[in-house]
Amino acid sequence: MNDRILILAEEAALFGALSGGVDHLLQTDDDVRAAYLKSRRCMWVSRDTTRLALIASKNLEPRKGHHRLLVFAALVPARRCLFETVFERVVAMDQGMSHLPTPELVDLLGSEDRQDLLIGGAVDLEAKTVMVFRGNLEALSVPFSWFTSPPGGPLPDFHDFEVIDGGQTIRLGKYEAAVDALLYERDAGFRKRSRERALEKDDSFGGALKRLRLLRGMKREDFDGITAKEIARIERGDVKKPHGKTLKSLAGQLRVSPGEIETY
Amino acid sequence: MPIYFPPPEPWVKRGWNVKIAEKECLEPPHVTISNKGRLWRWNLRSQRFMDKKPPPGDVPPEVVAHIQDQLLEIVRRWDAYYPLNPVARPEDDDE
Repeated sequence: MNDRILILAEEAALFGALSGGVDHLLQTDDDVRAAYLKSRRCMWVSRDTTRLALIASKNLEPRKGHHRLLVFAALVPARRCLFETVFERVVAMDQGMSHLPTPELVDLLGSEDRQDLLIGGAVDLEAKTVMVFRGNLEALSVPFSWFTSPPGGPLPDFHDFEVIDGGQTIRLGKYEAAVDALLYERDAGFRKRSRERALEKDDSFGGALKRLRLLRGMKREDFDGITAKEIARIERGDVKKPHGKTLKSLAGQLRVSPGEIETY
Repeated sequence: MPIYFPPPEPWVKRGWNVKIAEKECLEPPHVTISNKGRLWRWNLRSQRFMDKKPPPGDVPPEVVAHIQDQLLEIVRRWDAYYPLNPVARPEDDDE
């Protein structure tokens, strides 16, 4: 379930359609304080953060609950530090951060699927990592090595990063990666939601094994101690679920725990 | 760059496109239909939409017909891009 979104009343107009769907516009300083203390999980959205900063410095105790803040502007270091004493996570449109255009971002925040979409991110060329932020402000670090290219496909250009398609695609130059491929690999909750969204479901152990095998870029022949024929039989469902040693070996070679295979 | 299979006009002008991206969830093989920030996945094996959301009914039948017209070429390109997971039924591979 998504966290509530909170907006200061005077900023409502900035967020157009989003503020129309939000019933938590905060009028007074007391409203802000009450909302902060009452709710354990909230997402605050602001552009002109001056009033929020004034309230935070005077009235808010450090880190109550799981409050996150999305700022539609850059933050000066001192203000960021202030917010970081109060909010569990602060995401701002600082220099180097690429994000969806504001209308798309507002649409995304209004979507019930926002945790499964990306609002933007930044590239750390030295650490060879792409940092991306989901619509619930959760951060994911993605090593450059994750962005593999199919034969004949373009190589990712990490100097040219953008999130497109309303938060569903990562573009790196001419290269594109589907966000669902990333979330499918990283988040068991996303895999569950993805199955619920599916029209055709394959909940078998074999189906999960195949999805995970392909995610790891492995051929059936690549498993030590298990023949390709045996893998094919499991994937087809001829073997409902392997036992003991085989299951453990499969899991080890796929770098998950035995119980995790079925979540894929 | 993704492999695009743009539908005929007026659908491109209206923001519709069809593509295979470089990094996808590979199973099952599919194309992605896009329109103004919304994406639909269409299964190349069953030739049906894969997800309930966004509603498959929002995709113009002409765009789906375009995919069906181009299916042989789309399958050829998918198989070349993702040889570990060809569109042909996996059972066929084992026989």
